[in-house]
Amino acid sequence: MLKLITECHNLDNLPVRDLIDSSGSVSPETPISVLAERFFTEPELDALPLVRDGFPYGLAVRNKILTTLGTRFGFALYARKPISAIADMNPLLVHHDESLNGVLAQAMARDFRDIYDEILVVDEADKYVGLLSVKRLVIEQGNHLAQSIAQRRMALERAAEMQKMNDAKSSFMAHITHELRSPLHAIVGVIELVKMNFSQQKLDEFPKYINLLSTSSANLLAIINNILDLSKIEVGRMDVYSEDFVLGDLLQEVLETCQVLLGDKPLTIELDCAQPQILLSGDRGKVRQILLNLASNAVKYTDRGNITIAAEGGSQLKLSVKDTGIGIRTEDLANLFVAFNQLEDAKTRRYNGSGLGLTITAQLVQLLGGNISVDSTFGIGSRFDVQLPCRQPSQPEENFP
Amino acid sequence: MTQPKTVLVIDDDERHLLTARGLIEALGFRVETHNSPFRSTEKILDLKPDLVLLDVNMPALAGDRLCELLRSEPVLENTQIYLYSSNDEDILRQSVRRYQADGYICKGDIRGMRLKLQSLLGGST
Ligand SMILES: Nc1ncnc2c1ncn2[C@@H]1O[C@H](COP(=O)(O)OP(=O)(O)O)[C@@H](O)[C@H]1O
Ligand SMILES: [Mg+2]
Repeated sequence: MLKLITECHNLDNLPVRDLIDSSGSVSPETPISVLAERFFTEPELDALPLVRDGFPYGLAVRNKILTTLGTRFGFALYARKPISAIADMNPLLVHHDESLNGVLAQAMARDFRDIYDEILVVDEADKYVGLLSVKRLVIEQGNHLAQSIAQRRMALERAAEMQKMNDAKSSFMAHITHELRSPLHAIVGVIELVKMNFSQQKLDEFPKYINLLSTSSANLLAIINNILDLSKIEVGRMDVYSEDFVLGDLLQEVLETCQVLLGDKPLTIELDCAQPQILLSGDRGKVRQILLNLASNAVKYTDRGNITIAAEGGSQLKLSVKDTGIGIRTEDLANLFVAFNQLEDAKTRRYNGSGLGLTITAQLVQLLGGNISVDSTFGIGSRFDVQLPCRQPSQPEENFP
Repeated sequence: MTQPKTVLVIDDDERHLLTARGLIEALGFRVETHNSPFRSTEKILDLKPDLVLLDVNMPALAGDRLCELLRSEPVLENTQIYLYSSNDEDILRQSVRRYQADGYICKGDIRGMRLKLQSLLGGST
């Protein structure tokens, strides 16, 4: 019953049928003494309806009956008579479909002495179904009001949250639109220049154009991959594979991509790996993605100096990327791995990017069962560390010189 | 002999400065570039270009806000300012209204840019 009540959103729609307290009854002919006895022995019994052949005739209310009998000569006068002689023969009758609010309004409109008298409920055929306690109705109404206030508050909170999420999403959409198009527009523009110059056989700018085309497309590819990866992670479609790979080859691949992203910045990138020939077994693609995200950030956020990409294989694969770049403020470190949460305002950012790289990196690390940490000093540089659980396959290479 | 019309392109992204210069010079206009919102007011006052192409996403001061600031310069009353961006067109349209630009040009739309500049500054040889 309680369930029904909580599911009902509007008090005006809540039928009193669901609030019936009891359905016992007595016949109108019952002697008053019998009823008095019952009221004495059943202290919980507040009222009993008088019903004959299923139809309601009246209502015997505990207090009123006992008061009548308690007055001088009351018992002597009435004890043998049928209860109909002193019961309320014109009680409030309501239909079982009537609403809580409607019934309460009727109850409260009664004479003040009768206000708390129970209410008889009848069905379509006017047959008696049960009693309603006015006190209970009042309590229900109170609960319901409190509940609907709480519900309203919850609904408002939910709406505000949705709005916030929508805002974040739409500003993310606007931002990502720009981030995807900007390198593509550069590519489109450069290709147009190549075409124009080529038709006039002016080839001197071509090396520059080709350089621009390759950095811009690497740029664009990285952003697209990030977006696709994140959506894959979000729908739980990211599987972990295992394959054997040579650590040094992977590092070399990352290094080459970074060299492209570097353009003409005065930056050196070095690899630090004691055993580049070591064979590891793991999800090469994800390890590469993790390292590439960190390394491309290092390239992006460092204007001069050097970047070190270090790796050490064993029972754990330890990766680190160290740069001498802009660094990260202490207060920003906490937000670093949060999706869509960019440290700088999108329109006035100094560096392009989807703002998803680190979020994805952290999720990939988690997926592989590892951990990631960052250590950074604003204005000096940053260092990202990753540890991944790792297996070494049985190594036939060991036998080679 | 008439002076060629001057277009000033303000963009923090060197790639876009390079392509804009190449494409617009080919139309016969004179092109000047500036790679930051900083000192752009001086540059404009100094140069008095016929038209300014203003990138929107720039560090420290977004192009649309810069446009609003430039609009309050009485000297630049006759300078046309166009937002030049990779942003969503709906957003650009709103920004044009809000920050009182004369219009917008989408970065990837080379054909559209040529037509627009020619109609604004007059066709050239
Ligand atoms: N090596 C780094 N040095 C300084 N800041 C960094 C570095 N890596 C990441 N950040 C900061 O963290 C933010 C989030 O990085 P990321 O998720 O890769 O997104 P994106 O590089 O696309 O903006 C960056 O916008 C930047 O402010
Ligand atoms: Mg820009």
